[in-house]
Amino acid sequence: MDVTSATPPTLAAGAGAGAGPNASRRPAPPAARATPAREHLIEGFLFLCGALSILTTLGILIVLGYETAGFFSEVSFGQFFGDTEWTPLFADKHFGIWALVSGTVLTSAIAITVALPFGLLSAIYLSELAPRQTRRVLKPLMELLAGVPTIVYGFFALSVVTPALQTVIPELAGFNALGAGIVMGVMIIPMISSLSEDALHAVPQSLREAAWGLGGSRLAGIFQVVLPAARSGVAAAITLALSRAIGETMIVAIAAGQQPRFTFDPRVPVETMTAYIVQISMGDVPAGTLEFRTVFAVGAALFLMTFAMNLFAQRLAKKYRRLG
Amino acid sequence: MNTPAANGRFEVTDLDAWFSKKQVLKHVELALPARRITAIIGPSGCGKSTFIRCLNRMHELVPEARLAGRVLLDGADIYAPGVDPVLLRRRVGMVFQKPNPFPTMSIRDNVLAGLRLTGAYDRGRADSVVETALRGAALWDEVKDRLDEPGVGLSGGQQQRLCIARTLAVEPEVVLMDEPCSALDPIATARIEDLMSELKARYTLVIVTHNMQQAARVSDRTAFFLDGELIEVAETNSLFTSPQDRRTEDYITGKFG
Repeated sequence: MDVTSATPPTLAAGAGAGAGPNASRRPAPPAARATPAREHLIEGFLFLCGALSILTTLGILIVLGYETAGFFSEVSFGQFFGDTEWTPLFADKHFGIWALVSGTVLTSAIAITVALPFGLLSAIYLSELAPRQTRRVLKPLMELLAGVPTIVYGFFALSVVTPALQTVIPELAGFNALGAGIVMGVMIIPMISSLSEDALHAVPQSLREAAWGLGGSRLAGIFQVVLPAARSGVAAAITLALSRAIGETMIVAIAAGQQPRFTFDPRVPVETMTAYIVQISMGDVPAGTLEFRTVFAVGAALFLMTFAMNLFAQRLAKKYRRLG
Repeated sequence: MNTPAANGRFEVTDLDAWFSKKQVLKHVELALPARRITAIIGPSGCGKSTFIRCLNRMHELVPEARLAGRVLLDGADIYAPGVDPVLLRRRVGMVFQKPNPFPTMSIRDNVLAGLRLTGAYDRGRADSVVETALRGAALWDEVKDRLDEPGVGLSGGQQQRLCIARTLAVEPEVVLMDEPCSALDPIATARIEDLMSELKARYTLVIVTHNMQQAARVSDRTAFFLDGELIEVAETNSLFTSPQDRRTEDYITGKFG
């Protein structure tokens, strides 16, 4: 999940860097005298770079689709979508995906509840209120948070955050959605904050001046003019962060437990879709069996969820662009 | 206390302004009479925009910008401690060089933006405020049937009149205009110039322009700035027909600038 979301900017940067030195080597040749063979070679290479990521995605989709079809030849849609128990490894097998979906939705909802206010407010502070010097120091520091390996976050959730929460909520289980969700929220704060800050920073200064010129205070200008003008970027930041939370694996696998159950109680152990995939992939379930194929069915469901969300985000951005 | 008819009179004494270490205004002394149009002319970089941005305390919003001197609005120093620049800007409105309607707002909401920003929005009065402000900016007849469409969908000249309407809706005493026509075609410019002449019945207008014909057409008084200094100020007619300073004469006859 994180690999896919990180790929496009990297690729774009790579393509730009590739074109740069090459262009400077030949000082301004007239277009007609450019060597066609060489141009074609470069063009072909760049096309390959772009095609590679598309082909990889296609390959994943094909495997996912094939194995998922295999799964559904043995398990009906009714069993998959009409049940709330997920016990494919037990003698009494149930394949109710909602037990895993609820775990994912619950932990992600907690994460976004934590990350949205902190991320957005810190973006507003950095872009609109902080002195330039402060911003120059704080923004990279904030982004450092994104570089912490998720295994560290997961262990932190399990061994620090959950015990701390237990002093306030005594009935909190050792593995629970709350601690994992909160820490996941902290993990995605820099994502929301950094991307929203970019969006806020891109709002033309003339709009701020217009707001101030009308007698608006700094805060009124921020909330009535700057934030609305940046809303498509902010919406994109939130969606990306949410995608990241839904796809996050290590924190929830370590700290949220491995007990699929259909619940929205944040105090008890749950299992997310990603954590289930980890559990099967690391266990001794033989490949090719039905139990093994559940991984692909869960993966497909996960893919559909994030895909739908990205689609939604794109439509949102498009709508706002039209208005803007 | 002044009578209402005299509101919106500026007196500027010994005004200096800097961007970091660079001094952009030097000892400017200038009075701007109420309910008249004063044009500020001069070549690019002469400090004319900075000058009007000192009148509504927008200059100080630029990082590392400073100023010294006295600016009196109806006799009261707008830089005195305790003066809230936010409140001052409700009395001294500003129209910018490039039309900048709020992109996420409809025409109607653009006009009401100032009231919402200042917390003076009153639902019951909103319709009449919108109509009065748009009529005041000579835009009502063109947009009255599409008030809910985005403000940025209008033409450049209409957008600039929308920005004027937005400024008028807050009921200021002074309207500062920073090259309001520089991004507009001649027809749109003519409409804005007509509008200026109407507005001076109720507002003090200060217009920065690099267009000398425009200054001659619309203004009552003209001030000529050069390198941060006020060179000459006079009734517009006399400044253009018999300038007292050699540099003014050179500028208005096109020898430089």
